[in-house]
Amino acid sequence: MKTKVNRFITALLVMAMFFALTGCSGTPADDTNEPGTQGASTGEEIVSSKDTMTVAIDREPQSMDPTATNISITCTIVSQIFDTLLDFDPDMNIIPSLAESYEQIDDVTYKFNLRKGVKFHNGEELKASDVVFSLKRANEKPVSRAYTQEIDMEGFETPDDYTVIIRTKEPYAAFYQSLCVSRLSIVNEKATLEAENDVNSNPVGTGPFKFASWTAGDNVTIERNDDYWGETAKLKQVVFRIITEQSSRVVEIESGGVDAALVLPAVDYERLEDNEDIDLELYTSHYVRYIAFNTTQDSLADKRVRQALNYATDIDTIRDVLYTEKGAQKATTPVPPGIEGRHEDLAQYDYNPEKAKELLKEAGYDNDLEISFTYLGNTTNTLMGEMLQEQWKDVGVILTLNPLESGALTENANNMRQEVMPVRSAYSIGEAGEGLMKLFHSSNHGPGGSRVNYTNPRVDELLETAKVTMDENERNEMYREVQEIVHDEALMIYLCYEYTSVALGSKVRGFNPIPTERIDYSTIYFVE
Amino acid sequence: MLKYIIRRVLMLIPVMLGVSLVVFTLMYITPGNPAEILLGEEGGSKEAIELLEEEMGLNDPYIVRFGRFIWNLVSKGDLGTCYATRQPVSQRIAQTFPNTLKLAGLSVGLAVVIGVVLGIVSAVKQYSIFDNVAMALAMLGTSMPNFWQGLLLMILFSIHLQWLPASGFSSFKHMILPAVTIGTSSAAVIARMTRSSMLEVIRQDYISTARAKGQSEIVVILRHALKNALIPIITTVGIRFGVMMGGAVLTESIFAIPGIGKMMVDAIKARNYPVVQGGVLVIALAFSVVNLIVDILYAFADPRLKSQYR
Repeated sequence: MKTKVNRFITALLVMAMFFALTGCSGTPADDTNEPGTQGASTGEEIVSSKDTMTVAIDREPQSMDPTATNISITCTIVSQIFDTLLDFDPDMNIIPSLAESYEQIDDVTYKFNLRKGVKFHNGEELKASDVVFSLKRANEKPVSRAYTQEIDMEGFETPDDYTVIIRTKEPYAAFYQSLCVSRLSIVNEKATLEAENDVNSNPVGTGPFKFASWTAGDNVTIERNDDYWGETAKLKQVVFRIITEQSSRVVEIESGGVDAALVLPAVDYERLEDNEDIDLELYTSHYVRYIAFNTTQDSLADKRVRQALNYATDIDTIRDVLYTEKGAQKATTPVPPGIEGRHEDLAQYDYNPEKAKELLKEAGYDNDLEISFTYLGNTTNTLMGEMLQEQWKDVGVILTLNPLESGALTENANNMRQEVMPVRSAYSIGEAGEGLMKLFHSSNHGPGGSRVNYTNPRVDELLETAKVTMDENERNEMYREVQEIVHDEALMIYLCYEYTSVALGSKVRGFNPIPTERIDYSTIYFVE
Repeated sequence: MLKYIIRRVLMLIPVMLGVSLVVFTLMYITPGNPAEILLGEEGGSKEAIELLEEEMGLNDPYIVRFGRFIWNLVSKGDLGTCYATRQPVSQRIAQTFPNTLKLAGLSVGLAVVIGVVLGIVSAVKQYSIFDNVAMALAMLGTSMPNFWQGLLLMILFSIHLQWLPASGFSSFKHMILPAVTIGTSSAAVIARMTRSSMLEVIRQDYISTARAKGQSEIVVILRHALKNALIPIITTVGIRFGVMMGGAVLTESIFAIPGIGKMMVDAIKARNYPVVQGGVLVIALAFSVVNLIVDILYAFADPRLKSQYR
């Protein structure tokens, strides 16, 4: 009996292998049930009564406390439950949210008029005191305080319940943008004070969805807030299922087990696009991937060596192999496209091994430069390391691979012990200064998050001045100069601007992602 | 017998203490700082890291931290708070461990049924075609990586046939694919063990005696042969089940099962000390209990052993 079973299983597995290998996108059994609706995005569609959406997400959220969020999926979930004073629209314009209107009174003073009648999920009305409380609280928390550092904590004023005056310590050009991050969400003072430790299990916000449940390792569920101050959400419930394995997320969206799947492997893009039941959305987001040279290491302190390594790298090949042509854009500067202050006229270093050899010789190396590549040990990074190893060998550089797991890697980088390291950096407020400051200002070495650990008084000065310069053109000019210096100094090899991928069931409508990788679920609905 | 069990249960206390000490020390000397990891690859600032370290109680000396852990555990039954989700560790374990138990029970149950039957028939019909094919399949079953088998099963049953959900663990239907994935590889081991153990017993004189006195073949095989061949089989099954108590990391990842294995791996990566300590304690406890049950089962399989249990 066992043989039969086993034979049966073997037969099935062989069949499965066949399907997998031929990349057969098949004709799922229920394909015939719904003819003619595919690809129809015209006005003829009938809104479906389906109002629960299941989304496959790639990792466990960090917290339901907005102040403790710094990865995109956590920010997304939290931003469904909470609102901020101001917000970004899908084009990254600043729009009013809890603040109905706002004005700048002088260089450091801003006045916000709150929307009236906004109710928290516990029934309390939004008051000016909640805003002050939330910002003060965010200033106490390790993750969120990076965004409150410019706010003068003694300078709040609340002339009445619906007006808040906020002062910055000095003029701050990106102040409005900084108020849009989910870390500065407005929480309910009363609920939070009563149960500080429960913010995580019972978050009380004003957002279009209410928190329903969180089963660690399994799912987070949110439900529609029928008393929402804006347009109420079309979905009644959104279930975020935690599926860490990327191939499993792909299987789930292909089998129709989920309505959306986030963060997909680039190698599957083509197959997903060919599938009629799935819409693959690829959109630019505010991330840059690069290989950082730690300039505090002896050999890498020499600009010629860094330039040589740039010339020695066939970056187009690496990008196409690792992130595919569909999955990523060529990168020419550390600031991703679509961000104000980006330098549009820089070019990536060309692939020129001869020039690399010359530069290395000039720097005093004769086929004897040894460098280590420190990275998070996953498939993509290992492949990247091997390709670099091969390419750099041609110019006489010996690259040793040093894979680490995340904990050891972070410790290594924070103590500036690495030499060459692949990094991904985010611009969470859609403004050049934030990212450039973090990457190139000398105060951000090591624990500050800079992996190039670069020191240049001119760059420091430009960044500091730009931050307090209110004139847009002047400011962007300074950011462009920083990018020029950084480019000439060859502090990093730009890998790519990777697209963010979301696979949606073909019946999903109203999907409007924001380039900061946030998705607003309140506008999403299904059609028949 | 009862005295023996009580003594074994009491012995668990020093074992658990020892396990805690070893795990605590290992985590202490492993490089990596939970505060830095929580702030992410992109880093925070020095103050942010210090603030978090303070919050997590990482600034106290080794002995104070270990003492606090043991004291909270003994006096309040408190395993601490998860650094990542800020939920009590006991709650996280309560959410994950039952899933691991269910998966272990189902897959080992499946493995026992398939493995023992296959093993017996193979032994009885040694060197027949059946035996050869079954043992070849068993070899395949042990050699095939679980994550690969799991993916193949998913592609077939979830995408192409659409019979079963691909991942999750909320209903019996969700449990079938993971249980089959783990079950088949365990079944292979159990089948091989059953076969060799049965072969040894079948050659004994008392089997000939049983046949000579006219017992039917089925009774000879099941009562006389199998019962005496059980000890190694129980050991194998026990070990399999015990190992499963630590979770099946790859299978859990592929099928998105909120089990203890994946929780532990994530916690170790994030240096989430409270979860690692709490998790290891529970796994060690479960493993010890499974061992105890195996020892008790020996006594039933072989009454001669009972007299040794004092």
